[in-house]
Amino acid sequence: MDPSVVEFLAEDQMVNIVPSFSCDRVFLICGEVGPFRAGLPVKVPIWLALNLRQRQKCRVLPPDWMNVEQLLQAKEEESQSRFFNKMPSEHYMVEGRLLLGIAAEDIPQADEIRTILKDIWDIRMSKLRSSIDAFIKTGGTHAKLDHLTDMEINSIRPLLPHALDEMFSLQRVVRTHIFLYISNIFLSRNNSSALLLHYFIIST
Amino acid sequence: MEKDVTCEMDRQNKKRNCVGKNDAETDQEEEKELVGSLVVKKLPSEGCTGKNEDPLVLRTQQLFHTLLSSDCELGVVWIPGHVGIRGNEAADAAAKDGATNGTLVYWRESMAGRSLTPHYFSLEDIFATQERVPCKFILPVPRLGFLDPSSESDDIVVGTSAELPFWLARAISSRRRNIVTIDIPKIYKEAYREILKADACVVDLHKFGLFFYQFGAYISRLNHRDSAAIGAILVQTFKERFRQVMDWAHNSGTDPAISQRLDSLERSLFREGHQTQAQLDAWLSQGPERITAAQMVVNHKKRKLADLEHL
Repeated sequence: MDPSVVEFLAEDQMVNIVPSFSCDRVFLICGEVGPFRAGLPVKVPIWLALNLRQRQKCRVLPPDWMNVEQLLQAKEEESQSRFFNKMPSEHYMVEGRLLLGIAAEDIPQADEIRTILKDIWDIRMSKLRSSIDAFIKTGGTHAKLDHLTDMEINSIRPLLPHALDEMFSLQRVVRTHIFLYISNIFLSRNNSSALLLHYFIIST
Repeated sequence: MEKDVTCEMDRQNKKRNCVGKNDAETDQEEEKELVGSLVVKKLPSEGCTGKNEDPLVLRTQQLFHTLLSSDCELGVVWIPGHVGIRGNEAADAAAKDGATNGTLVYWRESMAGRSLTPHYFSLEDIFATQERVPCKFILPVPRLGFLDPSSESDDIVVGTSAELPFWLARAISSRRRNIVTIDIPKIYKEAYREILKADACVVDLHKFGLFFYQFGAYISRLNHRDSAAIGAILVQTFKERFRQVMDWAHNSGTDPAISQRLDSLERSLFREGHQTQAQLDAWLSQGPERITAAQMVVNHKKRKLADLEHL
């Protein structure tokens, strides 16, 4: 998946805006938004909020989690823990990038928030890389990683599954070979049991 | 007696594998049908139907009856032709596809389309089986002396050593047709395995072989006492080098020297990881975008009210 596809999915998250115009309810395929009353906060999808903001028709209210204190705490917890912590938003990176990119003036301490988000992203990515490495080295067959966001999963997507596929097919060769080797030992000693074993291998 | 034979033949005819014992008493009609159906099966392209007007079928029948009247034991055996042979089926399907859809068969596997067993036309698999293995002839082979460039004679004598492509060596070293014995190529021998065991990450795998893993998997499938050890070293090498491949894919620039140290499998993984990372980087550095109206919506002319009134 392209990162822009993940961005598209994340744009459906809701955000509060204060419109500077009045308009009735608008009916859209994804649901209805509004009614807009100038000066009264209203909840809209991010994509609409950003479009209105670009046309100077509203002011964006930052999401609850987008403040320095809460993000600093999240960063602290993330660096302390060996595992992945739950992020305040499922698309923290995309939301942060979109809102801070277009509506930076509406968000207090935008530059600091941007830095902290980047820090959290880097910590989590390095954790992800080292856990993949440990997973491959130990030859595990399954792993459980909680609280990974879509963008993070997407960053390793074609590489990791394909590497696991290749590893599986290499391991399968070894396993089949051991079976056949055993059956050959039997073949040299006892014909009937070797045949039985052969059928067993073929049928399984 | 008569009935028994007929039934038996009928049943075996259905099994397409007829071995019928005859003693001239058998019903003539039944025999005709049997021969007819056998010939039809063998020659579907000649346009034969159940009725026997084809001169070839008639001639076969004639021969059959001559044989029947002579006092001998007669067996009828169905020979399967090329049906069910994997390569032939694949080639048939490809030819049919080309004839009906006009598509050229060209199978380049992307990692995404890669299955656990390689496709018959997979170029990578073809190249991997083209690698040469040292072989020793244990039977004399007449008229193939040219395979051994150092010999002058027309024939290959017992004990000749030659490097044959793996696909050929595998076919002529099977239990049924044991003409050569295969030796393990040197890159999979103990000395090289020790190098990989010591530290797989510093090795230039590309120099070991372009298809180190795929070819190695074929080698480890051979019936050799080192086979299991080779299989194990392949898996271990892959595991140890994966971190490096992933790091290079995520962090390297466009240094061509790096991907030159990987074998083809690692290289395709590297290329994928690199592409994903490039997309992610592009996304991270991209500026804000603006939603615009689609060109179709802009160009769509509104109907005038006057036009609507006419409707």
